[in-house]
Amino acid sequence: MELPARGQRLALIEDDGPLRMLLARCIRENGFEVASFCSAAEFAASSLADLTHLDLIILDIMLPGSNGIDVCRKIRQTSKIPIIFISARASQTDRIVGLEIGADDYLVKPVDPDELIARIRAVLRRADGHAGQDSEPAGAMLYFDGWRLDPRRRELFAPEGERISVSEAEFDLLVTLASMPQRVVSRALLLENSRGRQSGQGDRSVDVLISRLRQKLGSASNGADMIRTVRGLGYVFVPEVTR
Amino acid sequence: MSLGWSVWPQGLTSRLVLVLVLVMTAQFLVAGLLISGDESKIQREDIGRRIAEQVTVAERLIESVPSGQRRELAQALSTQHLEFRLVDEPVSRAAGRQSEMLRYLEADIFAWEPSLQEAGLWIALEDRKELSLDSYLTGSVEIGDGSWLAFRTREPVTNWRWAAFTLLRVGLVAIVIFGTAAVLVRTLNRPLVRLAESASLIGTDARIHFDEKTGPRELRRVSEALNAMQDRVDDVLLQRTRALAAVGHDMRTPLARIRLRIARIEDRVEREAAEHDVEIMGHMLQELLEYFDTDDPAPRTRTDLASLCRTICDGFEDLGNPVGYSGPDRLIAQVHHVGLRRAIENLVDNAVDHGTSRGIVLRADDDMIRITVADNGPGIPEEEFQRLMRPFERMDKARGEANGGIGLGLAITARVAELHGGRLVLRNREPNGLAATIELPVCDEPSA
Repeated sequence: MELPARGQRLALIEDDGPLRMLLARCIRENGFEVASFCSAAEFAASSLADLTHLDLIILDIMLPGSNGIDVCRKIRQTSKIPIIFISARASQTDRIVGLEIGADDYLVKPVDPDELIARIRAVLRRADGHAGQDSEPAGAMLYFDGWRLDPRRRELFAPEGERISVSEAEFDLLVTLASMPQRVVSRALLLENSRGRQSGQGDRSVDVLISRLRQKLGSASNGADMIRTVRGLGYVFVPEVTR
Repeated sequence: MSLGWSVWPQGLTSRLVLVLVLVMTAQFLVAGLLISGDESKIQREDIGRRIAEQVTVAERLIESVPSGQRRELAQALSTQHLEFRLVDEPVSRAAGRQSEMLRYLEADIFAWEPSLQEAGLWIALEDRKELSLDSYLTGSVEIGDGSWLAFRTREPVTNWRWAAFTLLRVGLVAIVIFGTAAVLVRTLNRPLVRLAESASLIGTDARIHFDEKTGPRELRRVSEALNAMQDRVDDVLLQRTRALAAVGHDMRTPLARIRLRIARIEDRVEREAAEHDVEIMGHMLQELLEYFDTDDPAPRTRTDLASLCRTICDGFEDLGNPVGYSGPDRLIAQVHHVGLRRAIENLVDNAVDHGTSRGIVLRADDDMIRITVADNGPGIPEEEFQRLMRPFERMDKARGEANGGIGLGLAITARVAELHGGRLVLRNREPNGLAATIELPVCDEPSA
């Protein structure tokens, strides 16, 4: 697992000049290269538009001309490059639409700078993780033991179809586990993949999240725990997972 | 208006019925008077003619026989209606009553047989029984030899029976007409009553569509006008809401700039204070926009409320505010997931602000699910309950608003409960604390 290396290049498309400047500066100060654009058209006209020299795109949704949703949809036709939305629209519907058309994350203004950097790193890391396994589309539905896990909409459904509520951190953890079934996943990796939200709480927080998840998942159809502890190593997701 | 308030009924039906009663009474009186007037005239003329003819014939017959046979003849001439006697003196004028009717009758008789006037006909009314309204006619006419032919009717001639009968008939007609009209008024009024009932619902909940197809034209126009009015009100509200929401969205961008600029403040205390301020402003915007979103919920989905409550409790615990959960491990219901989550979170937010210990209790019986958030804070005076559930209403400053809300928290929760067909119930606990319960009727329909 590589940490964000120097030289990772981001494109920022945001129509508000001062905010664009401030965001670019914030991102740059955290060790990324940034190219800023004020509209989709300007981005399309640039040399970066073929995406080959880009690692991530940060998109505002409300843009003059063609909006962020259209831009994202168009990019997704040809590329899996990570996309993060930054939007003034905070409703759940907007968020779901954003994630369903293939964005990797959705942030609401005003964005906390630390949060933004953490999300950029998490998204880049996930993209890195999937880099070797191109056949698996990120965000595809996961099925196990009658359960359904929808990484795009961030929803979990029990066998009888009812939605089970889990926290963001629990969800990330479950996605990580379910993506690597029957393999031992270390606490460190789980912690890293749970979006850096609960930074500073250490290994214990992973244990707490696991115990909360177990309570919500209940036992599998064969009566055993779905998440098994491997003492000293980490956890194993027991059920068979299909996509 | 205030004078006649007690007499003049409130309802339109009652008013119309009262008007009908008055009109029908007037009709009854006038018609009764006219008809009985006409009838008594016809009757009087009829009696007059009969008497005139019979008396004339009797007089002529009697005059044509010798005096000795006259008395017997007079008796023989008596009929079922009229009795004749031969007397030596004219019937005393004082023997009976005189009346206006009698004068007319006399005139009728003379008009029919003018010879009777020359023969000195005199008639009078005679009451044969005491305490009876029946009057009989008596009279006499002179016969040549100084004797008088007296006659009296065997039947009463006054027409009170006829008059009463006539009035009864007119009255019956009036009652039948009145009854029919009252039923029609009620029928006519029904669409209006229905319209009034629907109209009183305007503004309470969803759009009321007035579809008046059967009622009178005026009511159809009223219902069209009410529809148009609702359209305009909705339109104004929508524009206001949109304007406010647009401002809310637009403010996020400058707020985002401020948030990024703040990161460059060197002084740590100042920076953190400013970050906190921006956070509060963000919360306010969030609350405002969520309030607008509440009215446009996603469809209901089958949701496990137990995990929903647990996730909320865990979230607060992770921020250092433990919230207990008591309830089943699974409880499935059809709910607006996002809205309900926000509704419960708002209650827990309040509980965290006002109490040192708080918990969520989830209970369900056959037809009601109750989600109660209880704290051990100071509670709320009961008279404030309704006010605080309205948008933009807050507790007084003394109680403080630690999280800088704008008074939409309880309003959003109450609105979400209503969207589920339920309600938000506040209750003070003993010895202190508040219990806020979201009551949700059990609903199995997926998209209700």
